[in-house]
Amino acid sequence: MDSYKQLLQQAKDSEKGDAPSTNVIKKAVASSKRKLIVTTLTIALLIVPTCYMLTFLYYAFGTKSTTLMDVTSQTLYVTEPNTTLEELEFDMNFSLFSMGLSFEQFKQIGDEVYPVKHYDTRFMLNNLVEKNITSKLEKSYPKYPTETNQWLVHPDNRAEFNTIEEQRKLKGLPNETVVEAYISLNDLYSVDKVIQQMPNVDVTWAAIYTGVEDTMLSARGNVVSPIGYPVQPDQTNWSPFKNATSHEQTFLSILNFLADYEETATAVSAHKNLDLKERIKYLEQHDMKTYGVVITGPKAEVEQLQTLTMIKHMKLGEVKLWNWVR
Amino acid sequence: MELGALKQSIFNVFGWASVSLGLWTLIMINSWIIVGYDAPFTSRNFIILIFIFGIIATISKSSRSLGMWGIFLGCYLVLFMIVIFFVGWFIIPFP
Repeated sequence: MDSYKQLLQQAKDSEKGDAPSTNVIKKAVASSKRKLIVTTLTIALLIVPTCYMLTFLYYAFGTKSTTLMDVTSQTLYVTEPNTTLEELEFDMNFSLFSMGLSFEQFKQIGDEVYPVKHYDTRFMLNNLVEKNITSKLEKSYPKYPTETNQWLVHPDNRAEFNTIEEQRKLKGLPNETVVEAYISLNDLYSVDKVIQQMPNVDVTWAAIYTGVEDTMLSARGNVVSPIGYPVQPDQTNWSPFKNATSHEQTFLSILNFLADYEETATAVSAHKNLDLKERIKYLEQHDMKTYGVVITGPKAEVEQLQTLTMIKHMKLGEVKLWNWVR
Repeated sequence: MELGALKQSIFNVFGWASVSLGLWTLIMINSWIIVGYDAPFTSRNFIILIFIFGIIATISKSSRSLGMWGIFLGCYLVLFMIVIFFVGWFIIPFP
């Protein structure tokens, strides 16, 4: 063996002596694998809580959860006749990038307020993606609004229901009942004048003329539905009309607020279109007049109202057993 | 020499305990969010243990990375609790 080969052999031998044993290598590989698995697991487990925190931050500093709740509740106050909502009946829950909002809708029938609908809504960030309504109503308002199927009808528009049939139904009810009725007027009146004409019943909601109700079509040709405001003083904490000096001004300010969130408001409401900007413009230039109101009271008192010349159509709503204690 | 190896393995155990507790808490939080089960958030003691074990593990050089990892998980869990409590109180306006 020459000196070069001897040198190589010596180098190989020394490498063998310095090299770690197989056990040490195996341990190092196992430890490295373990760390890699746990690192991957850590990263995977951080994704969902981080997204959840981002969701909370979005609803706190982006589109606020309270804003979406206000849009939802105020939309129902102005689009659903004879409606109230209870603050503590609202239930909020949050999941990844979405917010669920559930609540009860109430109606005054006679002297008492009854739960009539349960809403389950879900917003994906600020878009309404799910709306489930469980209704306890015996008479449901038309689900798909058209120009003529409304229960509150402008004097120049046509009604699909037959008022004489409705009057017969009312006549056939026992005297020990209270009813809700949708009264359409023969002209435009101020809300105060209508209330004066109906002293023995509660006028709960007034549909306001906004320049489009004679055809139920907006300037853009969209089918619209009645909007209005609750007439009775509302002491519910949640109500935007609580302690309101003027329900008309509150109504207008609600419309202005909803105009910024019109897409959401339209999705929440049962209406096809709200076309708020056009209607707000009309209301700002004209006095508020009503063409139809929702009333509730004893059957006999509602029946007596048929003698009023200002009433053109009447549609019977909900009926309950006697609860009128005045 | 053997005492040194024993010390090293004890510190490693503390490190792994810190990381494991952190991961277990994260698994609980994940299942709570995904399933939507309203489980009470009672992992405060877990978080304290994560920090204690993590700090012990950082004493030894060989287990320092595990200790730091555990402390990071503990800090993340504290941040999560703060955000969920304070921001949650801000976005849910009901008692």
